Amino acid sequence: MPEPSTLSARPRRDWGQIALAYGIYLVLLLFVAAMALLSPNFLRVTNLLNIVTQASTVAVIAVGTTMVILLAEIDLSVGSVAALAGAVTAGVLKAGGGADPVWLLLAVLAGLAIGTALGALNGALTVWGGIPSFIVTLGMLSVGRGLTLLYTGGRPIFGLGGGFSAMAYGRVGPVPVPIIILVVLYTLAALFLHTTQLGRYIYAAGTNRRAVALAGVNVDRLKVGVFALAGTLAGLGGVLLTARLDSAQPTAATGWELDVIAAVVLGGTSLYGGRGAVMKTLVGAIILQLISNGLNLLNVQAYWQQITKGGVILLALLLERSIRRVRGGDEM
Amino acid sequence: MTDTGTGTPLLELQGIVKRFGGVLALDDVSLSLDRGQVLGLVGDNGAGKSTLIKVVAGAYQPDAGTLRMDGAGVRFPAPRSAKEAGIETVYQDLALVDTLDAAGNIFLGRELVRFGGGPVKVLNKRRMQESARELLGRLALELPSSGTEVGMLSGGQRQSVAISRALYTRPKLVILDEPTSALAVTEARKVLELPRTLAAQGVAVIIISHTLQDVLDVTDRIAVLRKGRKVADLRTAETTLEELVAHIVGGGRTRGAGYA
Amino acid sequence: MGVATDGALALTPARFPPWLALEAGRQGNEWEGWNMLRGNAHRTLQGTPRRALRWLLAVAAALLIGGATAQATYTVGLSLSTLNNPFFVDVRDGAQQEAQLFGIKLVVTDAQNDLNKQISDIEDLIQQKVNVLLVNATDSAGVVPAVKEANAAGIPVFAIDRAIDTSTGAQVVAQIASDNVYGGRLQARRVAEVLGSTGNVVELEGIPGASAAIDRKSGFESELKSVAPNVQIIADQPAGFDQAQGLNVMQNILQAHQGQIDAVVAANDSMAVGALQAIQQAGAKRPNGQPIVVIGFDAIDQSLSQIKAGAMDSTVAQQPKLMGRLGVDAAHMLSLDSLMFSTLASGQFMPVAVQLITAQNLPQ
Repeated sequence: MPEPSTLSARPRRDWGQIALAYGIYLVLLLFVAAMALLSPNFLRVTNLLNIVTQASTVAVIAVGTTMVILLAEIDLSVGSVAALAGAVTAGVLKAGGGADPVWLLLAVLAGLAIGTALGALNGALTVWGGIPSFIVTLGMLSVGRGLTLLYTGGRPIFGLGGGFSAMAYGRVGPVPVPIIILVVLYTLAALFLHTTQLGRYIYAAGTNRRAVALAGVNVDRLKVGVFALAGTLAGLGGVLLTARLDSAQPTAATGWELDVIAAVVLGGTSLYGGRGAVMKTLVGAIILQLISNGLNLLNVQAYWQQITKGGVILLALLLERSIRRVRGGDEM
Repeated sequence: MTDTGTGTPLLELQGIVKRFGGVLALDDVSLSLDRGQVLGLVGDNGAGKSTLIKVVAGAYQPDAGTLRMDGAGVRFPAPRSAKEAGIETVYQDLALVDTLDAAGNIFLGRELVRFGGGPVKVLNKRRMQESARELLGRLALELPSSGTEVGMLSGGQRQSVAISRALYTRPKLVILDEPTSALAVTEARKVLELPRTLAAQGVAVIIISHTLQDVLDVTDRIAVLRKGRKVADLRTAETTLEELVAHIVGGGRTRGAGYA
Repeated sequence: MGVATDGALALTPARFPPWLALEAGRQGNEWEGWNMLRGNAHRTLQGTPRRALRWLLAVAAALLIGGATAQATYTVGLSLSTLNNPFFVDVRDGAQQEAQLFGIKLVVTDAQNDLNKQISDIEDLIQQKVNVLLVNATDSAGVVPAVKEANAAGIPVFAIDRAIDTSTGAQVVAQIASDNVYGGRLQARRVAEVLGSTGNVVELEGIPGASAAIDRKSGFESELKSVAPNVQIIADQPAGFDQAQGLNVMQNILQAHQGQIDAVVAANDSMAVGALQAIQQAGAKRPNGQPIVVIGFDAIDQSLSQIKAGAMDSTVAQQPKLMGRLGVDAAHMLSLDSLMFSTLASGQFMPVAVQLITAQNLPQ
């Protein structure tokens, strides 16, 4: 720190910063070590790649939700929006016959467009309709699912042709495409949030909306934009899921809003807004998938899985908080 | 008029009215202010002081009345337009973003950009740090460590950041809303030197305060609001604490009632 | 309606309505009870649930008596939750065929998945003084007020496919729904048939605690123990009736049991299709090099096309037409001899047979 002048009362602050920044990575390491001890199959490269690939759909959606939560808002509609976007993509693919790359692109864009539109509607109703985002997106959760059922007639759309599922199963060298998408997306999101003006406004408006508005920033438009982006990313998650399943399920991604929010919160983003880091959301999503993977590898009984899953999430949060407290004093 | 000299006033308010639903928050308020002049705005809670400065700062739109700057009619549909006209405001709660550092707050809304455009403007964090340090130094204000969130600073340090933020653009008019309310006595003393420093540089200052002695100490003129009306407009040198109190609580002489 | 109304009392296969012979005629996938009606009781009595047996006796009795007395016109009201779903269209068609057979007047209403519409549908049917009501509830608890109105008017009510909540005083004669336990047994028998006496099976359960998940699981596990005691369930994991979860869970299980898995039995087809994807992506095979046997449940189009392509082994199909027919049968019996029937079936579950679908008997 170049200017220690006025803060001499906090000598252990640097350690605190480090713990704050890396607590979740420590938790991840602990889980990996524990699983490696419990199951001989865990540390296989295919298993580790599987875990990240399995986490990819939720993790893609969680990028948008992280931004929404940084703004001190919430989006409960992402699962339904993802399902609708996936269904629309599948529908367009079916209509176009599949294999043609132009149709492929068109189908993906149609899915993203639907996601963006519903996201923007979430934002507009929240900002200009004056309804809390919790209520707006709860409504959209239901509307999105209804539209998906309507669009699919309640039946899966399948037989989408091989070109499309390459998005989920293709590899560049040894690396699965979904992992490449994840890395690119998270890098871009982190750069956007930490180095650009709009990124800074997202954090600032989540901390003190009024101050940012008084500074001349159009916070309303910013919020609508972020909700729209969250919709686009939910759409992308839905498209990826459809590629992965090689079919659009009318009930796809049901309840995913909770997985996504769990990933964001595990990653340390404050539900009160203004604090958090998108890269840690990725770690959160991977930890969640790691738990599922571990439960499957150890063949834990169904009812115990629910208890274990919830318990482990709470444990992870507790662990992370106590790492912060022990090493970082009383931040937050 | 109580002009201190030079022709057209910097800011002129004429017949400002502001309603919130059925409540008349400002009732036909007129006021003028010259360059280099320090004006105190006093009144009881709910007298309309905050509403009036928000109208001047562009945060509220008046329902009737006109604003003039340098003799020309102006409208401030948003805080940004008031800033562009040279009016900066330091709010009572300072309107700081606790999770940003001093530089982040000083440059909030006018960040220095390294490159890019549209939604992707990459911040020039280093230059903002440097400029912030330089600015704080110039104002002889205490310098919080760069990178420290302002939420962790003391009241006086926060006040310094808020004021630096207001002065960064070299405004023509600075509005200070209760600048000393959250401060320890020594810190408050320091902050109260600021209006005179600014006035000496030709900047006009409006200061809102409940601490009448402070207002008497640092202002040239004092306007008193009561129930949304301006009930007095006094030269500080010619008034007393007792007279001020009488105007604020009502029933006193309304010597300034005729002022435009 | 010729078959049942000509007054004949002899119980010979030729006298049964054609669908009975059809369902019973399939090899290896029939519900044993139907064979009993054809005179093969000695072969299939073992393992038949007692309630199913009683239910069959009741059908038989109804057929006998119905043959003699069907001249009077009974009216049966059938309130469906929706006709927008092919499943319920089949329920209606089956009910209509059966009603025609017995000379019963059938009034069908379509609630379009709208609870309010269903309540007024049922009120209309009560006004029309139907003899019996068959209700396929849009909402198990929401439909209760209308059912109570029917109770007050003295009209017996059967629940079709979806249960009606009886905890708040609504009276339901019986709940007629697919026999999930039996479906699980069919899966187990298929495993035994394909694997022989030994092998390793992965079981994918549905949503923990859901009745369909519990029934299918218990049917499968108990039957597997008796028909193939040496076949091991090496992994038993929940996958929420969801394709994405089926895929993820199977990927993970494949990591834990590489090269050991002979078959996957899923409590629904979505999970089975997901598991199949995981198997194909991993290129996993049975220890003997053969493709892993995947068995599902529900016979959705997605799995039928995989069975057709030879990638998936089999699935279990519900029989909505049969459900409609049995609904009308039950109503018919009740109007013939309510005393006998009430002792047989008061408030009970009346199972509707399901059937195993393999490449050999795929519907066209």
